[in-house]
Amino acid sequence: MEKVEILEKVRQILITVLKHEKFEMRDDLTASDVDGWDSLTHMEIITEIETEFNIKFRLKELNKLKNMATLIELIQSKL
Amino acid sequence: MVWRRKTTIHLFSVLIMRKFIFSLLLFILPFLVSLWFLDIFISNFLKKSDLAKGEYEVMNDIYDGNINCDIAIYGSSRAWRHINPLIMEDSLNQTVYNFGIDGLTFRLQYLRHLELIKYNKVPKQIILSVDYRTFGESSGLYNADQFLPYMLWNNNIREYTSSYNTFNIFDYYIPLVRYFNNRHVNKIAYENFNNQNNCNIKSRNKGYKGMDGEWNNDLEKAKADIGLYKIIFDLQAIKLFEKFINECRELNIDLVLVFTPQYIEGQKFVCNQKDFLQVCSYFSNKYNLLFLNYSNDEVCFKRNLFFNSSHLNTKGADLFTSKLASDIKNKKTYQETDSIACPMAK
Amino acid sequence: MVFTSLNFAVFLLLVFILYWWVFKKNAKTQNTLLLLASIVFYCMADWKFIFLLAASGFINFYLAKIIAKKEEGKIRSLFFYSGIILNVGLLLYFKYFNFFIQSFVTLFNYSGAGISFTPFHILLPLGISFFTFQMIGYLIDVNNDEIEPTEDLLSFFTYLAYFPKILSGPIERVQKFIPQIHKKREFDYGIAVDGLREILWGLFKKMVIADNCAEYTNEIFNNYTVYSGSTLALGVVFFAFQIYGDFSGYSDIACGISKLFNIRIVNNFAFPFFSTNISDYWKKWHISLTSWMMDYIFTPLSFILRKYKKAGLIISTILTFLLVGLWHGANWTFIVFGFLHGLYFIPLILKGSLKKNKIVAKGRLIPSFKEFFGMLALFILTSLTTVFFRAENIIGAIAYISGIASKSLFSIPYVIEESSGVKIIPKTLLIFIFLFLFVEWFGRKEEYAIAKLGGKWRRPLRWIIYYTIMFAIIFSLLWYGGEKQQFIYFQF
Repeated sequence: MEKVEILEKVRQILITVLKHEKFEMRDDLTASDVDGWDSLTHMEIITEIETEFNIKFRLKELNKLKNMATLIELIQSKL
Repeated sequence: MVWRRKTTIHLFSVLIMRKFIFSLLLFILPFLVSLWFLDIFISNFLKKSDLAKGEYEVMNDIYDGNINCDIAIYGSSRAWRHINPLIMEDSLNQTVYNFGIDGLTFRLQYLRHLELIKYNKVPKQIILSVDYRTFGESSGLYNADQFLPYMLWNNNIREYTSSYNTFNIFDYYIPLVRYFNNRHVNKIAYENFNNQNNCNIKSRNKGYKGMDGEWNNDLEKAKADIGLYKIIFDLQAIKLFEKFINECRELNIDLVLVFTPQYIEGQKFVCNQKDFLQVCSYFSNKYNLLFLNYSNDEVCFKRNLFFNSSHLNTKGADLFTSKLASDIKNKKTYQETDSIACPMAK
Repeated sequence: MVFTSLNFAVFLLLVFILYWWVFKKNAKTQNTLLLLASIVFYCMADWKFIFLLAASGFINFYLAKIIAKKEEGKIRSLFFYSGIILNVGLLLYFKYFNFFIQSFVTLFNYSGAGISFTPFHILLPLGISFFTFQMIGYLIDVNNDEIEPTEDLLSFFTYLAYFPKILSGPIERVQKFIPQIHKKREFDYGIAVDGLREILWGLFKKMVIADNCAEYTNEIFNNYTVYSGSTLALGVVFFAFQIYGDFSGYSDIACGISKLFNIRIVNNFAFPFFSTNISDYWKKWHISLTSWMMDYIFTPLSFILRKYKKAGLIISTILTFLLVGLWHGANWTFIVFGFLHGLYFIPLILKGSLKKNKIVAKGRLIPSFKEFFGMLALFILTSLTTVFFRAENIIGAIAYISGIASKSLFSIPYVIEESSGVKIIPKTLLIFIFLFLFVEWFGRKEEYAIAKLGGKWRRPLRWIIYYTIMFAIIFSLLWYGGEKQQFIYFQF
């Protein structure tokens, strides 16, 4: 899957979970930049991503995520 | 070059540190000075209160340097309740002041003596009322508030009160610290400030205050609680006592030891009174001191002259003081003794 | 040595002078001094357990190195879980042994077993809740390859025993602390002054707000059966401010002391009373504990339960806060305290995402009505849970809360002064609290309320403010202060 495609799907997931579009999908985007993306919604987002891409994350991998770029890379590595 | 750079950095650090220390001192000094003024304010108004059961009056007289007495009376409450200076003055034609200090052992009576002779004329004669606590020690400092207005930067007070763990070192050296978390004391000082006409009420008469009232049940309660009372002798207290005797000799002070009357039932309550009297006799003999022992005097058998087993009431005190004055005049002794070894040497 | 004592002031002065004048040569000498000072500090508080602290340090240090060297697999897991069990076991034994046994005995006795249990006399090492959590977090981070283990024993022990945080936190992370002490610290005038300012504010919170609230709190809680509902409500307010003033004051002092050595430790509080929802509250209250729990308990739990979606989140949250409660003390009251906070999250989880609400009424002087009532409602909800925190047992806590909800809630509150037996309304303290909130409100964007004095205000005005605060402390100690109160978290 292309990176652009993955980005778009992740964007849709964020909109669905966070119920708004007030963010820009850039490489250095982090949870603290986005309204509502906190520890409570984070797992929802992760679960939706797993369902959407049919992958399974490991906790260690999630702990190492720094920003959107690393998330996309991780998804790509599992596809 | 590297060496020069390091030296420059080092010098810069030193300058910055100096600036910091200087600024800090500049900031903190006015604050400390204002604490000192606040300390003076509180101490000044506290001294005028009756918080310390009349001890402030005596201490104020001492530190004001107003005392010019020929005869000084020392001891515990069995001094300031029992010996009326006015009657003594009348009888002996000398100025008398009673420095008895409530509830405290000889150690603190000695402290009062040191302050007296530091700020006032040395008396010609000291009448020391000895009792069961003269040669003992206590774990706590009773009525500690009496020292508060005077203890800042006072080495004598620090030396003789620090062992009781009531005050810590900061209390003696940093202004105001001893008043922290001491609300009742500060409130009284403030009330005196607010009400300056009504403060400075005298409750003692040259250190003396008689007790009006009839007999109370303290002795019965004490017997029920502990059965019999045993005097615990403290060697340090005895050493200090002997040191005091020697100092009186050096200053040519005529020292008289007095065991003032105690109600006979109260005397029976003390199981080793004999040991105590023997210690007094020993010192009396060794240093040729007049020892007036009223333990068997007729006063001791009259309950109506006491308000409890250890303290005479006003009527009893007046009666006793006249007797004491007469005995001192005539140098009469109630105890004929040969040389006696100090019981504590066993 | 408590931070508010003169003994500690002398100790700090001595360490400061030695640090910047004698031991200033390099990072190693500076760390050596800090470690020695920390050992002295801990020994003066509780010398019996210095060896326990040392042993914990050595074991965790070497375990971390072994874990990092091993490849992922059974051996690595064995060492890792041994380390976790050791640290948790230490905490369980010293802090919870009697509690668990007593609870089991009580449970069995409900079925008529009739067992009796005399609690063992187990002394609680001071600071154990803090340093064991630090070690657990360290081992987990090393095991997760998030950090490399520390190679330098001196730095590690300096981090572990560091005296401003050893007794009552914050729960500092290795990766934030140790890099700072690997380099030589140079004296920074601005940071040192900022540190003194923060210490001053912490002293104010502790000695003026917390200690004075404590006096009324003790009187009201100890005699709650005689007081009206309004007085009991006042007691809850006072206790909320007591804990806040006490703990955040302590944290400010710890931060300020560290700044004197040009070291940064995590800020533990960020004006939690100005939060409008429970999630925000816990991001601003005891931040180091919350973030520890988030990283090491909530995140793994919610990850494991993620397939249950919101139900999984709710369970994870409640379990996490049960642990938060239990961490505070070995009593069912603390568990109920934690449970209630976990319950408070449920509406938030069900509702979904929230706007980020870092600073309430940002850019405005006055909050909106919505914001004000949000803060008030949250304050009431969180303060009520502190009744469980304070009470001896659950029944007492429930009785206290029931006492609030009575007709006398609308009467004028009063407290009986212990010495005189006179009924008084603690007006002066309420004024102090109001002024305190006022200052905190205007400084809510900063690290601590009076931090911005350093940047914007001129020296004479700044010094007037400082003197005012100092005289408020003096006044409180002289006139208003009761007995010296120990820091609440000291016993943890």
